[in-house]
Amino acid sequence: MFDERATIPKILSGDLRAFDLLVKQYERLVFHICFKLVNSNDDAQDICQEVFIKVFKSLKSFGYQSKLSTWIARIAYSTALNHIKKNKRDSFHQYPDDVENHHFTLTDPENELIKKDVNKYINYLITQLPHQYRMVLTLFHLEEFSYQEIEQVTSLPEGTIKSYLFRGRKLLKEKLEGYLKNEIS
Amino acid sequence: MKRHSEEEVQKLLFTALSTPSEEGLSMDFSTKLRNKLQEKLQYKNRLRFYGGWALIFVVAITILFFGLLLLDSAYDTHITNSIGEHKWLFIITFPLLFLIQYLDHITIKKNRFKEINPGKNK
Repeated sequence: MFDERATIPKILSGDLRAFDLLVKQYERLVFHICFKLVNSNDDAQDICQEVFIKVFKSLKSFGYQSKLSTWIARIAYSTALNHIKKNKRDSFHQYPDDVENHHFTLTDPENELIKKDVNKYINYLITQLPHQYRMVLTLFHLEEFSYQEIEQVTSLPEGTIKSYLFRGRKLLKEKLEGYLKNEIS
Repeated sequence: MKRHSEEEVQKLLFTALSTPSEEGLSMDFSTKLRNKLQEKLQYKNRLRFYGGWALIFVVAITILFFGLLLLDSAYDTHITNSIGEHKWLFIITFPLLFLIQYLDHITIKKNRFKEINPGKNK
């Protein structure tokens, strides 16, 4: 069992083995956040490394005011977001409210394989949503964060988080219904 | 053919949303990270070491200079005037000594790297 109160002082005194324990505990969370935001495994690996170096350097400023997971998730979110901004990959990030009018593209032959697996199909659709939706859906469903924790990570108001969750799920559900109908016919 | 109910669609969606993707961090992620952190810590320690010595050196030179000033005024020896005449010698010599020390350090580090990873430097 990972005990952050015992591990953090050890890391602060320069114990890299204690830091290894922290990495093992939170690497899944950090990777999910980075991967869902940048949609590239290679980029996500690099960003994860950057995130944990930032965590190591700024751990002394962690004051136990929030959960360590929330604090690390916030660093991961802002680092991955900076990466997106630098690379200008996400054309949606300024227009998250246009999501209802978004047309998903799933036409090339490679994507035909994705259509055969519901989970892959949904995950593929998620990659095409604006990053705010991707993040909220990932933190809520995959990492089981509460609304308050998502608010701390993303700085979005609770109402907006609930709205993104509702609209994102509605959109994905509509797409899934269409997918299942096509599968039957 | 079976038609999916609203509840089933919802369940499928929620299952998909809570299923992690197949991608993940590489097996040697924590090793690479630890090596990088060790490098950074070593660099920081080196910087602190050389910075400390540079500070001690500057303080020593300053004390020496003021000591000579006191000596000049007490015994009228004009040592500071002679130093002033050859100031470029001092200005160039001391940074040069530091540069030699730094180059020496880099050369030693490169040689050690060759010994550890002979294959990579071919």
